[in-house]
Amino acid sequence: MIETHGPTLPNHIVEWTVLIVTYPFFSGIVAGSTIITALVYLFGFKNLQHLERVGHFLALSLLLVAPLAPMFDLTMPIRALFVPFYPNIASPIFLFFVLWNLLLVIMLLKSYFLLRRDFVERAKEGDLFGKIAGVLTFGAKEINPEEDEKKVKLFGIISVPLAMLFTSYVGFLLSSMHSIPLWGTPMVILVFLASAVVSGIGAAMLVYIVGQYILGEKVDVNNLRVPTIILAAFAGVDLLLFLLELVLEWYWNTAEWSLISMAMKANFFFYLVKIVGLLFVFIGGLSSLNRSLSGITILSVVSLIAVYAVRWTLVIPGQMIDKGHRGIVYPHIKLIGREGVSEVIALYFLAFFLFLLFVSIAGWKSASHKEEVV
Amino acid sequence: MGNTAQESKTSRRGFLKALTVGAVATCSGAVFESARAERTYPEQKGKHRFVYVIDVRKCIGCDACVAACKAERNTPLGVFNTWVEKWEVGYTDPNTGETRVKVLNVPKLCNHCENPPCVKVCPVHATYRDENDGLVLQRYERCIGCRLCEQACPYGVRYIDPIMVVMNKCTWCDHRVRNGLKPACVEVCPTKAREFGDLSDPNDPIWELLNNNSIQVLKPEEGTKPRVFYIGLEAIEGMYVGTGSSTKNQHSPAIWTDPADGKVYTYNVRMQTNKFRELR
Ligand code: SF4
Ligand code: SF4
Ligand code: SF4
Repeated sequence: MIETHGPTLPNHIVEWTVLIVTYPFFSGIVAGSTIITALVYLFGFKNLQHLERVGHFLALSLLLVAPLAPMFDLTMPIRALFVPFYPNIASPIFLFFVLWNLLLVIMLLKSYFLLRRDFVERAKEGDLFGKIAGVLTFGAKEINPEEDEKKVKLFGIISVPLAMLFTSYVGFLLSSMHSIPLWGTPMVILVFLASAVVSGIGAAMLVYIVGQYILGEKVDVNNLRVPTIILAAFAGVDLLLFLLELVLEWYWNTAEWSLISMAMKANFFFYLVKIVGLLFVFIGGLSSLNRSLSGITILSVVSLIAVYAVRWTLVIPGQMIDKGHRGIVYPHIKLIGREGVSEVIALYFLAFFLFLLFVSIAGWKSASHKEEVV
Repeated sequence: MGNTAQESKTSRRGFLKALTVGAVATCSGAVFESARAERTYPEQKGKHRFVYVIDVRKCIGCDACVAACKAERNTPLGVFNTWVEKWEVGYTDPNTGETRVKVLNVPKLCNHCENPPCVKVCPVHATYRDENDGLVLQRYERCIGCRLCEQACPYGVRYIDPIMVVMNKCTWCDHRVRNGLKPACVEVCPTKAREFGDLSDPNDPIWELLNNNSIQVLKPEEGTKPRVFYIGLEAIEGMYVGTGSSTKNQHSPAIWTDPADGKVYTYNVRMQTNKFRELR
């Protein structure tokens, strides 16, 4: 049963649910983890190179999985292949297509030069992954690490603005729907960017810490302090933008405000998680929590949960407001089937699997890192 | 000189009135769907210039059009190409000055906008505007089902067809009108509240209807240039009224006093519940 409150137009249902919430979450992590790339290659934080490598694996696997979310969301998923054949350059989805392809090419090029040395080393071992690594060297044998590093730097730096554009495209999509009160404002794009940075850094740090823990290696907390402070700062920016957006909505959409507040009340839990979570990351990240490993771990986990709530509050409440502006429609979240929670879980597993695959082929640590240890 | 003073006085009063009405709208609740006079007809680009005219004063809310559309287009359960909303609108009787309530039956359907946001966002041109006659139509075999157009349409007329599993909407009965017939919903309307015509024909009776009446369109502020013209919404033109708290499917009537002239208005909306919505 689809629940409504007040009179609503007969065709109205909340069309986009969990999959479209997941999609910007994934693409946000892709974009956010490039911030670490920028730190390493643009600002010279060489001690973050290992974290950057882990972030790169994460970004690549999520970049490959992310488009599956909107694709599963289509009522005709296979027809997604039509998009390049009947292009409508005015459509936000065409923009997505172009940006995704560009970013993928850049990320793959960066991967090649980042990992080529590891592939060559790995290919010497005869097992299955070694063979795959051998193929991935594309015939390269003699590697000049400095030359490669330059290329990695180039592609890494290109990937930063591209990934930011890629994630802000969803914000652009929502803000272009000016008939929907909570969406039709350019603020949405900024919120997308700020929360992308929060979730990207949070996810990369979490995966890095867990990975090191599983392998029984030490994490140098001092290295992680800079990304944690950036994480906290952007959580603060995100919170500020949210409050600003709220004031703007209240001030400009006075007539629709009763509906907006009704939709927000219906998603109260998510707004609460978002505000409390971001506030915790903001204050915690700037406090002594950024000096301990457990503190940073908690901050990363909370940042991910908070940003998931941000994504929810961006996608769902806007759609609940009826186009007749007299009532709201509640979302109908399914467990199985199209747009079901099961599909989202499958996507998480797929991303995890890809991440493990990349780590197995290229190695958790880079060859140069191993040399240093030896 | 006197004239100018008179004009500036009235305009100042109008401004003050607008200000107070705006203030009341700010304090009251939900927005009343806007309707404003707009008399820009579609350009002649091809063979036809179709327009649809709805005279809400004549509509008796019998829903014959809804039934006819369901039959004509074979529309599945739970979705609608057209529906009839009931608005209870308070007004001040011009003769006696008393406050009265009238019921308006407001039929809705796709506006076949001249500047359709749904067409702009479609990634594969599955929804397109035929410049030859101004119809906004669907290529069902191409639609990928992203529902971007549904989000972009300000009028809530689009839906995913539960049987075809792609986007569908009112077509203004393109199969009929391109062959010289009227849309099914127009054909069955017992009071001629719904009219359809072709502006490219100077003798079309639709010209008379348009020329002799004040014309409004829905949500003109969206810039979509809707091509369903309404007659009879001028009494509530631009009025923003609070709707108070609402029950399940009916707003309790809101009483609203215009502070500029002390006139009292009420407003209430009722719509049928769509019990089959989840069939989508
Ligand atoms: S009413 Fe909606 S669906 Fe119809 S043409 Fe206008 S925007 Fe498109
Ligand atoms: S749902 Fe179909 S018609 Fe609508 S925008 Fe997507 S592809 Fe185009
Ligand atoms: S014009 Fe045709 S499709 Fe549109 S509401 Fe009328 S009968 Fe239905």
